[in-house]
Amino acid sequence: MRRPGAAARLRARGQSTAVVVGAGVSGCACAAVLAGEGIHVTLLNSALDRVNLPGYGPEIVTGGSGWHEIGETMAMLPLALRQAWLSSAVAPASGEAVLIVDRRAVSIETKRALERMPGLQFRQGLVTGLRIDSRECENLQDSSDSDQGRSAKVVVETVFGEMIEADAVILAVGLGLGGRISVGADSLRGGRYGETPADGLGTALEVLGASFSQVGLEVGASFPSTVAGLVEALVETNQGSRPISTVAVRVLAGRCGSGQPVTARLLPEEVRRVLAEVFLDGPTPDDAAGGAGAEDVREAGADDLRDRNGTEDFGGHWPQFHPPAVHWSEELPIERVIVAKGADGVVVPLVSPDGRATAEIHLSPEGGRVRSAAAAGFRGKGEVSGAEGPMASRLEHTVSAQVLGTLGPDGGLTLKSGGKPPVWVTGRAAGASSYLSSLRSGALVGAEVARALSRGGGDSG
Amino acid sequence: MIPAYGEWTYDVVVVGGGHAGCEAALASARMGCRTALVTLHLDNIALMPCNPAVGGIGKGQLTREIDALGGEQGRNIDRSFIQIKMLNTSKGPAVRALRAQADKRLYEDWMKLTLTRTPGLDLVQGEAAALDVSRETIRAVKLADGRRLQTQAVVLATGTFLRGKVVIGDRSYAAGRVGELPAQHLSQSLLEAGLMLDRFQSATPPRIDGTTVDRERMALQAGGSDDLCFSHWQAPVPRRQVPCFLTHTTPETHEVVARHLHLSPLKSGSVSGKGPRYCPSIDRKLINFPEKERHPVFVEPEGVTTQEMYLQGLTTSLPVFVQELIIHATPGLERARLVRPGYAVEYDYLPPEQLSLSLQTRAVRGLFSAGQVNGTSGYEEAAAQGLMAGINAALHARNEAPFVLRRDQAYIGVLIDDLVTKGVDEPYRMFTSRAEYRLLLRHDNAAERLSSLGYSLGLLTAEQLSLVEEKQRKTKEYSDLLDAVQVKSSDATDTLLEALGTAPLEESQAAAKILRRPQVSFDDLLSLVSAEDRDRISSAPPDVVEQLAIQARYEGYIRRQMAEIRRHRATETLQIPASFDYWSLEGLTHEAKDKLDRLRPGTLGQASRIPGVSPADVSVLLVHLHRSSRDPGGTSLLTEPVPLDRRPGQTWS
Repeated sequence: MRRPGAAARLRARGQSTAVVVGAGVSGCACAAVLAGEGIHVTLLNSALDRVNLPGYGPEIVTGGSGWHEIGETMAMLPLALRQAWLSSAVAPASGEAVLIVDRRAVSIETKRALERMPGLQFRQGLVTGLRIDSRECENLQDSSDSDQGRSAKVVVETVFGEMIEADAVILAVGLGLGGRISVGADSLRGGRYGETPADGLGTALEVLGASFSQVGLEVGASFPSTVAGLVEALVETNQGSRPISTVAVRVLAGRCGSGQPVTARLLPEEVRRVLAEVFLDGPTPDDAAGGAGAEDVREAGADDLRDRNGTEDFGGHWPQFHPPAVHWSEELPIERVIVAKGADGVVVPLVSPDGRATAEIHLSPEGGRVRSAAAAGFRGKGEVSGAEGPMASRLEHTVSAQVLGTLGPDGGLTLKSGGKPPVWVTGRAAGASSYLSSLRSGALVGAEVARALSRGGGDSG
Repeated sequence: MIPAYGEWTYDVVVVGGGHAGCEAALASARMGCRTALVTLHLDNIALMPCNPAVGGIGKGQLTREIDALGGEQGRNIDRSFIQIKMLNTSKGPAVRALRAQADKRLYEDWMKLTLTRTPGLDLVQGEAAALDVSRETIRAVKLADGRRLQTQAVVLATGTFLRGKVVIGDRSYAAGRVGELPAQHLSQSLLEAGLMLDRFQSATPPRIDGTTVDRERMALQAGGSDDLCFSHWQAPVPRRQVPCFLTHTTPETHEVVARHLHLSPLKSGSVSGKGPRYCPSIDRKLINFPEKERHPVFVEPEGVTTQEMYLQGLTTSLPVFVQELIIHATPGLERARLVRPGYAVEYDYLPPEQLSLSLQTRAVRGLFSAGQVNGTSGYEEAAAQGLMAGINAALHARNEAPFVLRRDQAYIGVLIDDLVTKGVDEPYRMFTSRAEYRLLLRHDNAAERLSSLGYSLGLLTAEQLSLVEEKQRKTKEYSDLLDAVQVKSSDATDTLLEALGTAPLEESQAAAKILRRPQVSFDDLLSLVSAEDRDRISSAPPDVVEQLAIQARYEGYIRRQMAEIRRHRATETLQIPASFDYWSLEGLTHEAKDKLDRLRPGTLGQASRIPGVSPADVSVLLVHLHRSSRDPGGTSLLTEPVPLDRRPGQTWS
């Protein structure tokens, strides 16, 4: 069933091939960078309906360096992918450094953008095996010559028995390796709720001699929407009442305690204005990366508007079919959020729109982000101030998984034996702990693999 | 044993977020019931995992009926289609139907938006792991995470997820759809509640990269007119339509399949469930129709934001490399790049003869089921059942009598009656030929047939109802007008009639009568009447003209079918007492006794449709029932003829 044909043909033409396993945040970034470098990339995902779908909530927070970090990261991405992210995001008008993405939109836009990149192809398939071609990797143990080792061929195998051969494989499997989700009383396999885990691949890596370390992640709850109309909520702070997007409540409520004003709107114009401010006149105008990004964003803004609204393809008829800000409305039903500072953090009492339920959400604004937004009523009766708490759409849960512990400085996998197969690791599987670090990791590893392949390609060409 | 971890109270809990589940949840919430929709993955609502299309012959009628009752599918596809056309325009009105190609992502987005905007409806991500049943009555749904949703009624709409397994060749893994975890626990709970389960399988064709398709080598299939749409309640919005393409398999394609047939899961035994006869895989087609030299393959876009295309007609679960060979042997697809391999899915379904006509299970009061889990295939069939199950779950929660549609009222009635009385031995798909009265159950008169029912259920507004009544009033007005207006016998008239290929007039005739001639269209008629009459008639709106033409041309047939229905209804609705003792009745075959005793049909009509019950058996029953009952009884539209739920000794409350 093995078909070396396609890869062999490409190699004969001097084009290197790569397989990216996992089309999440880091996998898409990595594949886009590789394709931009002229590498022939196959981007594999177990289900192609969830390409670049941020799995752990909609907010992109920074590690402390604010817009500088967001700008720099976005600038590392090929324009098309950057557009997909930024056209699907909003930011608080206050200028606070957080992007809140419409998860659906960024997923759809990324797939659209990547499908159009020459040399990049999607393939639906759950990867369960990984083999280094033994003929090609006799030098594998010779760790002194890493370039040699990295030029060996590698084969990934899917659950349905497909073999895909490439010069390089990049593992961007997120928390899928040995992933375990604890949600309430339930514990299920997988890196993302409801999705098939990459267990077979984990075993194959173990056999190969990779070593792992364990990570954990807490994912906050989100709440059902019973709000008719557009998603807007009111935050009452000591600065007065302000409308915010309901989805922003989760992020912003945690900041309210500090007395910062919070406002976010979902209007695209506003989004563009905010983003333009950020990238043109924001805190990093002189930064080389940010500066380059600014030009592109302005250009991208125009392109994007045309493209997303489909005026070219659909004679102006299409836009009205796009539901307004559809993807966010599920996240929170809260009409009124009154923030009061509690002894051990911020306590947010929730009142559902029909008044039938009230509850309290305890937030601890650690490091500027909300670590836990547990649904009251779920945790135990003591915390419910009404008869019932609002039902959580998605429960707070924790994900534990294995990440690949032995990574070279270039993101390349180093085996226990010291061997360096042509396998790289990126994103959460490589220890990234946020969307931004996943994006950076994807872009950096993509560039590194392209460099390695161009070096190796010279020999085998 | 799942530890309790918080408890909530609902009127209705719907399990599953597909086409059946969405309709059920919306109907229930719109009828004022506190409703929860539980799904394994909130990012996968209203997915179209197979064909990116809604409608078609038989199915399009279902969607129109769903819309006429206040369901969502029609509106939702109207908001997201990228191509729409009327099928069978050259044939009679009974078999005409709409079919639309969807942008899949947009379809999902709109459905999810509608769900989130519906007051009283909570979306809940979680695995429904067990049903809490006591004294044959549903009490609660327990989620795997420990939450307990107390409820009056549950609608099971699990699609292919109950112990789902996806298969290609000899490889398989547990999944409801590729990449998604199946529902592993619920089946056990259903068995414990006394329900039977069986296995079915279904399959989907591969998707290819549209940029690698040679469109020049295929026939272009353009969309239809701008004024087409499914819904009765919103005006059609014109948009630029996206074309589909048609190619055919060749002897080379068939040779590839034949050479690898031993690798098919059908042969290797890795699929045990029965598959659909009417949507067969390419391997199955070659087995069943070896004489056919080619089969059509429609190449259809999956949306406007993706290059992926669907290969309708190439359904297969052969190994991936064979799928590529099959595709490449097909004209126009020689260089096509495979993006998603086709695959089969095998799952538990609930043989539907365990249900009553309200879609309530007979074993557990308050437990309803709808969609693929009832052994059907197709989004339309699923949505239709979802709507009916949602309505009936809401009625049950309110302690009201169930809502049932008769076979002469709607395709929905045919669908459910077929399922419940005949059962299924393969995934059930709707065809116009399944309806006895298809001249009455037309796509164009769905609202006239059903919207007053939708209104009385609270699913349509008075405004919507008045739209339908207005159309009926206008149709009557113009119909009377056509009866009154005369076409004068004259040389000019005769010349025109002869030019149309029909006989000249002996004497003046009512315009209505002339319109009955198949050669004469409504426009032709306008040139046959006086200028003054023309002005009066030509003001008729297009939908009224359509009705006038159909009425005129098919009046005789329609009248005959109506009479037949009236005749049938007397016996059809003749009730059989729930405790009827078939074994003591002489003249019935042993098989009939066994089936009747097991299935306990509520009416003679249902009894007559049970396979194994012959017309002779029905006659025996008829004679006996007439002897023992004084009044066969009529039924109101909102009342089930006889609730099959009422087993001997049980009461409703």
